[in-house]
Amino acid sequence: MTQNAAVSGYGRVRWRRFAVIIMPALAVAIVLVVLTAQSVLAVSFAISGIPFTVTASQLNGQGFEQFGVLDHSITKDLPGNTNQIVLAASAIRSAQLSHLCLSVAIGFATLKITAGDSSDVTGSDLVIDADRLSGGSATFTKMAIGQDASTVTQVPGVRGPAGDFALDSQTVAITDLRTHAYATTAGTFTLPGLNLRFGSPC
Amino acid sequence: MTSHDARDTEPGNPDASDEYDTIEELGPIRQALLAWQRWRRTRPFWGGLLIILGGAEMLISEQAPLPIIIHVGIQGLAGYLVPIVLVLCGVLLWLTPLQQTFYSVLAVLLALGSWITSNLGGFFIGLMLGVVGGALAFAWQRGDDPEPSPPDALMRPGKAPSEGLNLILGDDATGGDERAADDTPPRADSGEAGGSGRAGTVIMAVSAVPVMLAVLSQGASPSPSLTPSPSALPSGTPSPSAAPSLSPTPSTSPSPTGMPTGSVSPGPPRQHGPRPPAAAAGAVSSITAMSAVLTGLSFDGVAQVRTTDGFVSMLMFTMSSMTLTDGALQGGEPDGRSVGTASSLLGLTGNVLLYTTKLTGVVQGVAVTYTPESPPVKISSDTTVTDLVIDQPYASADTLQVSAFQQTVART
Repeated sequence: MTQNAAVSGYGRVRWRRFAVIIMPALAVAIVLVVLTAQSVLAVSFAISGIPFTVTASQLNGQGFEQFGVLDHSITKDLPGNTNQIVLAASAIRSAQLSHLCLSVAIGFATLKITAGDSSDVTGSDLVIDADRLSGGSATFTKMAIGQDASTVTQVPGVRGPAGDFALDSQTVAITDLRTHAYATTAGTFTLPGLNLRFGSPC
Repeated sequence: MTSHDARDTEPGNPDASDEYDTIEELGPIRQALLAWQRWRRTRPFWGGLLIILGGAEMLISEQAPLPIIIHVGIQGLAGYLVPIVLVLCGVLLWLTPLQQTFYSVLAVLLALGSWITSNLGGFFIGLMLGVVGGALAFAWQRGDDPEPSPPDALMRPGKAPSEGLNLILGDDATGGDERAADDTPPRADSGEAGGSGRAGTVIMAVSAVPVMLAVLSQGASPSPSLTPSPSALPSGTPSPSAAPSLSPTPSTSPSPTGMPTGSVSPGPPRQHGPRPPAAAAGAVSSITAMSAVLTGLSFDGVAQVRTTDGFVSMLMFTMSSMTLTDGALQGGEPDGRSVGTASSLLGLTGNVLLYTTKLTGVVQGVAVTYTPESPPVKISSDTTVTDLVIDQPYASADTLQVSAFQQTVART
């Protein structure tokens, strides 16, 4: 008896219905990509635990903080087969980046996002936890070195542990920025000239 | 219903019924397999699976440990909420296939929304999985029309709620018509009409998405920038939290520790802005340099600097500039964490204020060590120091310029 019910209960995909919803959905997806590439839409990034590289030819920021953090990963796949890693958390309240490139390894492929070739990428409340950060030159104004990480105020809501060593400055300008990071949080970006593809790392 | 006969002739699953005729003679593995197949085919399995995979891919692309999510706050939470609800949609499509229309449309909308909230929809991969899965689940047609061939199926008690729901969703009716349309030409019209009618609503619903999203992003993007802007203006000078700490700090310093050495100019620090004295208590932080050129240098006494470990006696220097060649900043913590910045040239200029617990170096061939217990007696205003080590520094300046710098982290 159940057998018969089972047979009658079998369903299948109606491809016309599929087309009816997939077409507008794809159209919307394209619109989203275009709007993002025209920096009408701001998008958010949150990455953690996966190493990724960010480069930019020029970074100008207002409100900068940096302090060391101990990040944890769910898996023990961080360098040294541990689930803990020391990272430098850099936070910028508002940033303009030119020639931004972000690459992240997904499985065997490397996904690469580039933007800001013609006009600057803007980001707000960026926090990036990096193990390597380098640049051609950097200029900080109203700089404090050795500020207690729990008393920094340049980026609202972002503070380090009490007693920790922190850098803090009102503005930051870095050329040829290159950073290898494990986490970024709460970053809101506009990505003019967005280009998303598989390719070689930045 | 007339579609009854259409159903009978439909070559939908003839093989399946054959299999079930012989089910009793099959082994347990085969039976389990058939049961699984039955489960799979009575719900939008592939659609749900793709939706779950899409949501999971987004979460993997974010892969956040809990402390970070909490640290992010509500804005970042959306980045995790969207894929989580997406996964939930996929699971619910499996568990309650009757609600397929709602969950599948919701899944498509969430997948599209993830572009903004969740790493460009898990770098587009999760977004596509979610959209295709949602569309598949939406397009999936339940086969349990009220006209199945076996007579007892007509009396199935479980039938009632589904029909009631179908009335609301207007789903099965059109589906049945469409199905019939495959065989009977006259029915094609109604099937077509039903389909296009739904297409219209779907298109409306879906095209509303960018508008919604635009509104969302408009609402979302100013919110972070709104909060910073008021604090942006004053934050340059003092930080409200740091300000009160200043007053007790330097004032106490000159009197009690009041340097026996005459050359010390006590008095409070210059009008440098009510900056510091919330220095880091980290025991191993330092500024080092192969050589350093200090200009306009003066030693301003020993100050009690506030740290989280209480007040610490520190030497206080002011200068107009400090240029370090092959310099390094080391911010170390007692637990072994450290963040180091190395640079070929590191220059602090303009109102440079330096607090330190210990300064060692070589001045004109003479090794010197200054501590609050043995502060500098005489110090020339322009000094070149080699092998400079400044322990537990707190330094502030109008400008810090760093060239060819490299930051690394370490754990000892």
